[in-house]
Amino acid sequence: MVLTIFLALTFSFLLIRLLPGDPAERYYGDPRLPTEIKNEIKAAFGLDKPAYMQYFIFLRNAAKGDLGISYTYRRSVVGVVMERMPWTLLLTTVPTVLSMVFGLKIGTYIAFNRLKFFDRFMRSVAFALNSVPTFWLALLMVMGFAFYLSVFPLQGMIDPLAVSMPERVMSILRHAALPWITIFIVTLPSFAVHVRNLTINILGEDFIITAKAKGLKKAQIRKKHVLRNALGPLFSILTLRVAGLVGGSVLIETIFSWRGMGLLVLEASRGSDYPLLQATVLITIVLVIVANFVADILQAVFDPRVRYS
Amino acid sequence: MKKSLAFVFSLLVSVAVIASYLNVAVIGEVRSLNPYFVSSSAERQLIGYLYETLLTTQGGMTVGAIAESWEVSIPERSMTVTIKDRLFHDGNPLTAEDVAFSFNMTVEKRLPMGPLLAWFARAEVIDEHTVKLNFRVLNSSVIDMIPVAIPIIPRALWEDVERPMEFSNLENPVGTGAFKFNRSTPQTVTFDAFKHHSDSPENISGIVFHLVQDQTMGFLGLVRGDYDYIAWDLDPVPATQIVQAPSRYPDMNVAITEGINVTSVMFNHRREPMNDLSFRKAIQHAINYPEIIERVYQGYASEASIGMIPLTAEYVYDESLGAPAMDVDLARHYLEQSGYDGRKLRILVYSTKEQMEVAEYLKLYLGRIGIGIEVDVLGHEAVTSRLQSADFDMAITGYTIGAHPSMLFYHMHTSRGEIEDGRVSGYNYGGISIPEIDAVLNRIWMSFEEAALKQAFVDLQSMIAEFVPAVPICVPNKVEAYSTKRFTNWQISDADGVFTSETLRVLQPK
Amino acid sequence: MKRRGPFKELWSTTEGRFSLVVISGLVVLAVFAGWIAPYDPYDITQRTLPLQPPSTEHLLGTDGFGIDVLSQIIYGARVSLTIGVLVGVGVATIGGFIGALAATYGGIPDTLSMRTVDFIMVLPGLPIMIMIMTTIGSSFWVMVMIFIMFGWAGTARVTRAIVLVEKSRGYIDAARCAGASKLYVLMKHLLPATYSILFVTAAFAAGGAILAEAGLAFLGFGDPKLVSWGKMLNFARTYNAMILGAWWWIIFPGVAVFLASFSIMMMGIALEKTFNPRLRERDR
Repeated sequence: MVLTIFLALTFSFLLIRLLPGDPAERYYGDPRLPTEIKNEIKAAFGLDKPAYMQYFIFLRNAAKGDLGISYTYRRSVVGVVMERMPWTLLLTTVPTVLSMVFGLKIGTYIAFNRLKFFDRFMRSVAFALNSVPTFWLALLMVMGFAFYLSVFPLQGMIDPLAVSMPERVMSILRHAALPWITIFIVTLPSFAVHVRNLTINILGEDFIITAKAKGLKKAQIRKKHVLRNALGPLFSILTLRVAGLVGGSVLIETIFSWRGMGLLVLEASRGSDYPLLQATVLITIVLVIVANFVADILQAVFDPRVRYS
Repeated sequence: MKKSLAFVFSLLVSVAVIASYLNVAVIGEVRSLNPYFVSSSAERQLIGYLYETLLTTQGGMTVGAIAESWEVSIPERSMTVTIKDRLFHDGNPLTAEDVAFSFNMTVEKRLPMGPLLAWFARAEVIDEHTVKLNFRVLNSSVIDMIPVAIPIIPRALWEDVERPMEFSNLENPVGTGAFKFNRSTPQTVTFDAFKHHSDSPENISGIVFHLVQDQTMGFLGLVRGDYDYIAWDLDPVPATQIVQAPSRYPDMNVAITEGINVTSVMFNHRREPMNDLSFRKAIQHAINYPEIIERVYQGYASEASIGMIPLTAEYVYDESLGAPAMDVDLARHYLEQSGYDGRKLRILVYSTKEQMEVAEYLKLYLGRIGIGIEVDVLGHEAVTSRLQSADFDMAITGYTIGAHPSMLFYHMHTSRGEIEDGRVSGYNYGGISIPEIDAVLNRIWMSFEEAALKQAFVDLQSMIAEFVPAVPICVPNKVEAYSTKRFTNWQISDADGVFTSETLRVLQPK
Repeated sequence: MKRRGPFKELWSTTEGRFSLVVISGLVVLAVFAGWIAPYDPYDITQRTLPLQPPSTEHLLGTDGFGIDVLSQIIYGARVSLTIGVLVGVGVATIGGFIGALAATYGGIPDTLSMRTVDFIMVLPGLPIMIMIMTTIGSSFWVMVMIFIMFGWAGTARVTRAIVLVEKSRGYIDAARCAGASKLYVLMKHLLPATYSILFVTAAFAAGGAILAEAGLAFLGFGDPKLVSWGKMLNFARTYNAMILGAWWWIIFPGVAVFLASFSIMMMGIALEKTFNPRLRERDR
C-alpha cells in the first residue's frame, strides 16, 4: 500500500513538471512580470533548484502533510480538499450501502428461489444500466423530478436560508435525495446480480450438500453457511464500489452541483490551479487505495481461505 | 405583553429585512476575498463592492471614487490626492495613512499588479486627508491605471499580514465600499448595505450573492424567482426567448446595452502579407459584418467603428467615422494590389463558441475573395502562449477598450510589441509598428489636460481608420437579465448597463 | 462436430443478431455520414433557427446553435465508433500481449507487470484523466491513449490467468520436452488459446470507451473540433436546453451513446456465448 502511494506521488510530480509554461507566472497569474520578481518567486518556491532536489522536497513535504498552496484559494490545498471530502463521502457511501443491503436481499432471494423470469429481468436491467451513461441518466432525473415535477431541489447541497441544525439537516437530506436515488438505481441491479452469482456458486459447493445431508433446515443453511461465506467477497465488492464512486463522482457532482471533491477537480482544472488539482487527485488516489486495503482486510476477516494466499 | 409585542415586531422587521435583500447569481467560486488576487469573476464582483480605489472610470472618463480631487505635477512626477471622508466597515475612519499603506504595501510585498509596480515609487502622507503618490515615470496611463487598480485597505488589519499572497481574507474583509461583508456559506455570500457610504442603497438591506456552478442553474433560478439579477452576460438564445415570449417569462426582463469589448482580427505585422496595408484593407472589406452579428451573436452585438473605439467610451468616441462595410469588389482590388501569393494562412482562436464561429465565417468570407484560411482552435493557455511568442498569422481577439480606451497604447504601440527573450514584452502581440499611430499614442500618453486628451483620441481613431492595424468586427452587447418580481425601479445606463451603483441606490422592494 | 463460421455462430444467438444489426447500422452511418446526413454540421452556412422541435425538415430538431440534431448524431457516430474500435483493439492487443508474456516467462517480468496492473487498477480513472487532459490538452488522440493506458490492465490480468491454466496442460509440457522454446510455445499454443477472451474483452473495452468519451466530452474535455455525442450533451446543458424545453437536444444524443455502447457490449456477450457454448445452456 505504501509503495502504491509513493508511486502515485511520483507520478503526479512528474506530470506537473511536464507542464508547459512557467510556474511562477501561474502563481501570479500575470505574464508580464519583471524578471527580478520572477526570480524571487522561483526562489521562494524552490523552483530554482535542480529537479531531483525539488522531488525530494516535494516528498518530504508530502510526508508532513503539506501539499502546497492553492493558487486560487490562497491557502493550504490539503485544507481545501479536506473540507470537501465529507460531502463526497456522504454522497457516495449512503446509496452504496443501501444498494448493498437491498442487493443482498434481492440477490439471495433470486438465488434461493430460482425465479427464472425475475432473474433474467434483473440481469438484463443490470446489463442495460451498464451501457447507459450515468450522467445522462442523472440529467434526466433532474429534468424530470427537479424541473418538471419540482419534487426535489434543483441543485446544491443545502438551502442557504436554513440556519438551525435541524433545518440544515433536513435541507441537506432533501438535496441529497435525488442524487442518492440516482446512484442507488444505477448500482442496485448489478450488485444484486453479483450477489446472485455468488450465492449460486456457494450453493453448489460441497459443504452445502453436507449441511443438507446433516438434515439442517433451509433457513439455517442459508443463514449459517451461505451468507457467512458470501459476506467476505460482498464487503470487498462494496468497498471497491465506494472507491469507484469516489473516483468517478465528478460527473454526478457536476449534474447536481454538489460541491465535493469531484467538482473540486474540475474547478482546479478550469482555474489552472495545479497544486490544487494535483492534491485533489492524490488524495482521491489515497482514499481509493485505503478503501482497497480495507476491502482486502474485510475479505480476509470473513474468509479464512484468503488469508493464506 | 410588551415583550411579546416587541418580539412580534422584531420578527416582522426581520422578515421585512430579509425580504429586502437582493438576490444575485454569480458564476464561480469565492475562494478568497483578497483584493489583490482575483481568480474568478464572482470574486471580482464581490471585491468591487467591498473595496474602493482612489479613481474609477465612468463612460470612458476617469472620475474620483475615494479621491475628492487630485493634482498632477509633471516636474515632480507626482500626483497629490485629497480624499473624501470615508469610514471603513469596522467603523474606523479612512485616513491618508491607509491610502499610503495600500500603495506602499503593493511595492514592498511585490504584489502582482504587473508592470504598474515598475512605474510607482512610493506614497507619502501629507496630512490626514492628503496623499502624494510619487511615480518613477509619469504618463496619462499611469494616472489612468494605477489609482484605479490599487484597492484601499485598512492598515491596521493588513500591516501584520506577512504574506499577503497567502491571505484569503475570508473571515473579516474590511474595506470602504458601499457594502460590507456579513457572512458566507459554501453557496452564498451576504453583504449588507453600509449606511455610512454616500452611494449606499436607500431601500434595500443588502445583497445575497448566490454562487452558481453554471449559466443554466442561474437562468433557472431567475425564472423561478430565486434570483433577482444574473451577474453575467446572458446567452443570446434564452435572451431572445424572454424578449419574444414575455408571457412565458413574467417579471423577467433583459437589458441590452453597449459592450466594452471590440471583437477584432489581430494581424501579426512581423509576417507577410499581414504587414501590407492593402492586404489588411482587403480583409476589412471582405467581411460580412451584419451576417456575423446576426448569426453568431443573434443580433446582440453592435457594429464596430472603423476607429476601433466603441460607443461605451462615450467621452472620446468619434461617431463621424462610421462602421466598416463589406465591398467584395473593393476587397478583391486591394488583394490584387497587395500581391498576395495565395499561401494558406492560419487564424488562431480560443475554444469558445463565439470565437470558433467567427473564425469559421471569416474562413468563408476570405475564401470568397481568394484567401486560403485554416483555423487553429486551442485552449486558453495554449493560445496565450502562442500570442506571447508571436507565433501566429492572424488571431481573433477582443480589445477591451470601452472602459479604458487608453489601453490601446498597450495594444498598438511599437514599444509594446518588442520581443525580449522570445516573448512579446507587452500586449501588442501583433507587433503593430506604425509611426503615425505611435505619434498619436505618445500624445495620449503625455496629455493630462482634458481637451488635449480628447483631441488626441479623435486623431487616434482617424489614424486607425486609415492604417487598419487591426480589423474591428463588432461590439458584443451587454445582455443582462433581471427580474421585477420583488424589486422595481431598475435603472438602465447606456454606458454601464443595469447593475450600477445608481440602480442599487434607488432600487425599491415591492 | 463441424464448426460453423463465426458469423453464423453469432447470428444464431439473439444477442448476436441484435448487436450485429445495430453495429453495422452505426458503421454505415459513420462511414457514409456525408451521404446520409441531411446537413453538414461543420458547415457554418447550413445553420438555421435554433431550438426547433423535430419537424419534417429537421427530423430530430435543431440545437441551440441552429445545427440539425440528426446530422450531428450521424457524424458523432464517427468519433464514438472510432474511439471504441481503437481502444478495444489497443486494450486487447497490449493487455493480451503483456498478460501472456507475464504468464509464459514468469519470474521478474511477471511480478513487475502484475504489480503495475495492480497499481493501475487501483487508480481512480476519471480524476487522473482530467488532470492529464488539463495539462496535455484534450484532443482525440490523447483520449485514445489514456483509455488504452487505463484499460490494458484488466485484460492483462485475465489473459495471464488463462495462459497459466493453459500452460499447465499436458501438451505444453510435451512440446517443451520436444525442445520448443518458450517463445515458440507462446506464439503457437498459448496465445491462440487467449483469442476468444481477447475478443470479448475488446468488445467490453470498446463499449466502456464510448461511455468514457461521452463523459469526458460532457465535462468539456472533448476534442473541440469534432462533433461528438458527449459534447452535444455538454452544450445542451450549458445552453439551457432543459429550461427552454428542448428535450430533443438532451434525449437523442444520450440514446445514441446508449445504443452504441449497449450493442457493442451485447456483441461481447454474443462472442462469449460463441466461444463458450456452455453459457448457452443457462438460457434453456
